[in-house]
Amino acid sequence: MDSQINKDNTILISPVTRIEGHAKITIDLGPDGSVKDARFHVNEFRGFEKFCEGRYFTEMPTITPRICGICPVSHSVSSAKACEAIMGIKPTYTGDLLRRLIHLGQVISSHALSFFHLSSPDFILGWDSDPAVRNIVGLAQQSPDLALRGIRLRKFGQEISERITGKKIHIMGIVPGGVGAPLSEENRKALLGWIAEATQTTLMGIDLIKKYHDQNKDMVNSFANFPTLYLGTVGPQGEWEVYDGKLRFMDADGKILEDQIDPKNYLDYIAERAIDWSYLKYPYYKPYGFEKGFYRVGPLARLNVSSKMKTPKAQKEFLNFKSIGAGKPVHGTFYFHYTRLIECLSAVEEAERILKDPKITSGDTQTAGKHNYNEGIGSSEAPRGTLFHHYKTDDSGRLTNVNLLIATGQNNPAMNRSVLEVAKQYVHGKNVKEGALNRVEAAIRCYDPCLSCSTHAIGSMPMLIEIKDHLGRTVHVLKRG
Amino acid sequence: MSLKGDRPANILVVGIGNPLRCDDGVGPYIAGCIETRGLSGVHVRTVQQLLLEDLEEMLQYDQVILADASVSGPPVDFRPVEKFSGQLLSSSHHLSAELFVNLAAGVYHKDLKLHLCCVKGLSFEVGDKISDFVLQRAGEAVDLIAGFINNMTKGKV
Repeated sequence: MDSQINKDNTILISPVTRIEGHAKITIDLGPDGSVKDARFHVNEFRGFEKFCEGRYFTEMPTITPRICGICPVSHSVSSAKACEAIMGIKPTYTGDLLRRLIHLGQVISSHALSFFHLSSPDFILGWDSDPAVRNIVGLAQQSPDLALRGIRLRKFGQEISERITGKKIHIMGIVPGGVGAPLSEENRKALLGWIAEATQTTLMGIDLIKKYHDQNKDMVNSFANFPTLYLGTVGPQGEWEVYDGKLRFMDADGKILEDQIDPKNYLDYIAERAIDWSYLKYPYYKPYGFEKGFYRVGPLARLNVSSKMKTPKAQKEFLNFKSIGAGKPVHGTFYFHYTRLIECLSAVEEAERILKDPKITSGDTQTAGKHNYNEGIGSSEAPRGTLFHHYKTDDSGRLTNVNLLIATGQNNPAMNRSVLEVAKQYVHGKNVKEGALNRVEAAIRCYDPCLSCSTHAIGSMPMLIEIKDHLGRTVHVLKRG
Repeated sequence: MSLKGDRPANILVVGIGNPLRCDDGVGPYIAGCIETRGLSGVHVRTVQQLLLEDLEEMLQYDQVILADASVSGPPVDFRPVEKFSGQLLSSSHHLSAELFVNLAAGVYHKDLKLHLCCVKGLSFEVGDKISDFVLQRAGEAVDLIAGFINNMTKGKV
């Protein structure tokens, strides 16, 4: 991150490192130098939905993974489900199981990247350490075993996809009705061979973050801690379910507002409003209206709304997590890291269970179907939160309208609030140390936003932080990328 | 680096980019052209973006060549990638080539031989067409890469 004080006496931080897309944070100071306002801007253009119009709907599970190289599976899964709604079919048992397995693999690889390589340098090397080494390379020098384990955990997640579909990213194997090819016995055994190491690495990460919590209680509990609503999908018993759950909304006190809502009815509960300073829209829970209806999605939201986990090791950690809020939702943004690791652990455990299912290598992987309806909605929990694909077609099956509601977009209001809260805590006046601004960036990293997805745009994620004085003059600029 | 003696060349060419982002697809296009030439000992892959775990695979090769689109710089740039001591940008969606060389040394204690071939793109909008100007430059890039590989396998590099 580069930092500069402009001639006109203003502050700018750019670009937000270690997240994706193109973004800028502005921090507005009052006359006394205290933070008055802060905003997370996204400056990319959203055009992918328009590009898809006119294509045959069954192309979408192979086109939409191109939106993002980190969560292509979620796009492919949600897309395949939307196509199945249009066709009026369900996937076969094995096809569904294999898709669930690929999806869990993506949760593992995405969460491993977020925690071990993007966020842990702050914990291990220190928030105020030299930014030139406060990254994965610095982590490799300080804790080479952890860095290597993080890479291998990510590799395991990717290998699940590769061994089923033949590709690590931009998979072609997820299709309406299931998957294109069965899992071989050789590949099943190879994937099972990873489970012990993946479990151990995830537990190491959990130990690391819990020790950090213990040693930095005040910081962790005060870091962007504010109440919001939460949205996530859950199973029939309220259990954590990222592949095929129903929507559950929870309020800031833990009251369940909506439960077991079919994702196809998402527009009855979620509305979006455009704002003039960002390409990201502001989604909100419709019954509560704009602002009061802001909600969060992603790991923290999913564990807040869930009643239990499905696997024993993750359930043990889940109970520990729930104890933090004493039965109420946990609002501290820093807890995204812990919940991400609990999800990773659950994904590894569930992957093992699936790999031991006797029907996982069955050749019955796909249901056939054809165009039957002119509208379909598919949903899944992407690593960053709830994802919706909504397609409308003409009578020939050509797409006439595409709406993609992305996790990062849904977290947009909360990311802005998080930036404001952390800026208020750590930024005082225009002469701000790099470490303070790193904390502001870290508030964004907690959400691990994918701006490629949310704006559907290309980007190498340059980031800009501007601090403006009470007269609107930029007094300080930090730039990365 | 040279490859002498009886051992066959073991070279990986990776085309990086998103073919649905117009000129961003030039990396995979170049990789495809290299594959068509059928050079002995040359393996070709295409990816939308570099991933950390790709490093383990890269380390199995004597030489890795990345082909990618750039948003600035000369129309065609072909250069070795060296270790970098300054601040390295990395995000969940963007890794620099220098980061791979640094990580190879830091995590695997190995020397990654890496070259980067960049072709400057003109349009990165949503779409599946590479612009004509960039396609012409891509042809030059293919010749550069193929020439480098030929020289390397003859021990001239």
